[in-house]
Amino acid sequence: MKIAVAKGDGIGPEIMDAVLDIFKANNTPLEYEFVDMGKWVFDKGFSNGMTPEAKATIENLGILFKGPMETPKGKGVKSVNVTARKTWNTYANKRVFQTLHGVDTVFSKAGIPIDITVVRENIEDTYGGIEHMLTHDVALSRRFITRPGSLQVIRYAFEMARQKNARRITCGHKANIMKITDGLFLECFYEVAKDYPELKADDVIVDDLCMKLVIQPDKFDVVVLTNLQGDIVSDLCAGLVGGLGFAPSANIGDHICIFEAVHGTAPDIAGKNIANPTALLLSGIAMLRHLGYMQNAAEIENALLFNREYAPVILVIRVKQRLTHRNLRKRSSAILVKNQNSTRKSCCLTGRRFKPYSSLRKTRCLFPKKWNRKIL
Amino acid sequence: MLVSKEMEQENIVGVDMFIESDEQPEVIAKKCQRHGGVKFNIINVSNRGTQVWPTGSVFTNLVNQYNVRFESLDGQPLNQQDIIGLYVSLSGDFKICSLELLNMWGDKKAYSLSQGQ
Repeated sequence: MKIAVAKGDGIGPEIMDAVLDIFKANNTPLEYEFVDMGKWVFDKGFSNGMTPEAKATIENLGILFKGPMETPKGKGVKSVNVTARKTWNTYANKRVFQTLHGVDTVFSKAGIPIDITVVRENIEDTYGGIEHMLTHDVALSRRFITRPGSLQVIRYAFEMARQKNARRITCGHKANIMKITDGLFLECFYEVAKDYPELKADDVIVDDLCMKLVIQPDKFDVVVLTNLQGDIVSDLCAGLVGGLGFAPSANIGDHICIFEAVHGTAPDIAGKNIANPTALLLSGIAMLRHLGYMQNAAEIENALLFNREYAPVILVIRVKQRLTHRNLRKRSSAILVKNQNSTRKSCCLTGRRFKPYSSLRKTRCLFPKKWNRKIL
Repeated sequence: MLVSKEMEQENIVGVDMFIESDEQPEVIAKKCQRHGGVKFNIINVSNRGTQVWPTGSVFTNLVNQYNVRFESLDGQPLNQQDIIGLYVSLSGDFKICSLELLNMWGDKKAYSLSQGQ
């Protein structure tokens, strides 16, 4: 299957190359068509940040895998990330936040598991970006919430919750203040909930939701929100599991889906090959699942998280992943040094041991020798 | 009163007309062009903030409210009577939900572009 790939700006190309190398190591049956999107496309005069050819390719293939992209500041142009989501009507932004083995957080240390899926409405709200100065001193931003748009994303959230056997689905809102707009979103939530009697549907005011998420995150399962509130709450949830570097993102539409890393382009470390590709890799795993490549997704995910069965992928990950996250830095450095003098290897993420590479090579010829040279 | 002391020259250069319609963007644009007259040029049509005319994507889902952006035909400043004239004319074809003036503060736009514009 062929998909469109946009490497992005800043650290984008290096983390995308790392992820595609991992897919290759896993023999993932994907072909890539690289498209022109991002800051340099703005600079060439395309005001929406993508070339017409890129747009046509993505619309033809239906899947876009993209690295982080930068929007030029001060030129009045719109974010290419938001343009892509809105133009192709990827109405649901799905982000899964799970406790990751080896990533120390307050909750992992306390033995509190986190498994929260945030579904954020992706088209409407203040992200319509319709803004006017009314006087020299007064600015206005229009906030559109529509019934069709709300029903679309809420129904997706309920369907997804049903498929993952969720116990609870929660609507985050501020309908106590924004009674018309968030009131409409909340009304749609309970309208759809009637069709899913097996799910416990409830609502929490968004500020209260933030407090509860940081106190008892294990009480939540699926959370659906409007665009801006979803943006904030999903980053809060990323913080619960270790930061944006561990947060995958899938933008789901009926015809086109976009899988991307949600962190920035980090221009200060671009080109140094020290950026951590985990978030993009997790988004890539979500993409493989979406495309039906369950086995490939499971193998890569297990290699990344649990160090099971698929050691070659771990080795590639270990080379590519510079583990800039402070929770991992010391451990990964120690393991890499240790491995140079050891016949047994450990997963850089978990510290768990697996069979030495040499014995794997005798039994399963799973990856080229050049990767061995890179590692050892 | 809380008012800034220094203000730049203000000019009205256009108007955003928020209209209700369940028609396709091309049809709306064609109808709106009739109302532009000698003062207004239709710049684009957007739906939920995303441009759908003159260029757009067939994959953009539409709701029954559009924003039609009119700007001055020759770049000359407009006045409120021009806007009211356009409002009266356009109301013959559409229900106008609301409108916003497009102002320039000096040489700076005091409004945002549509997504994809």
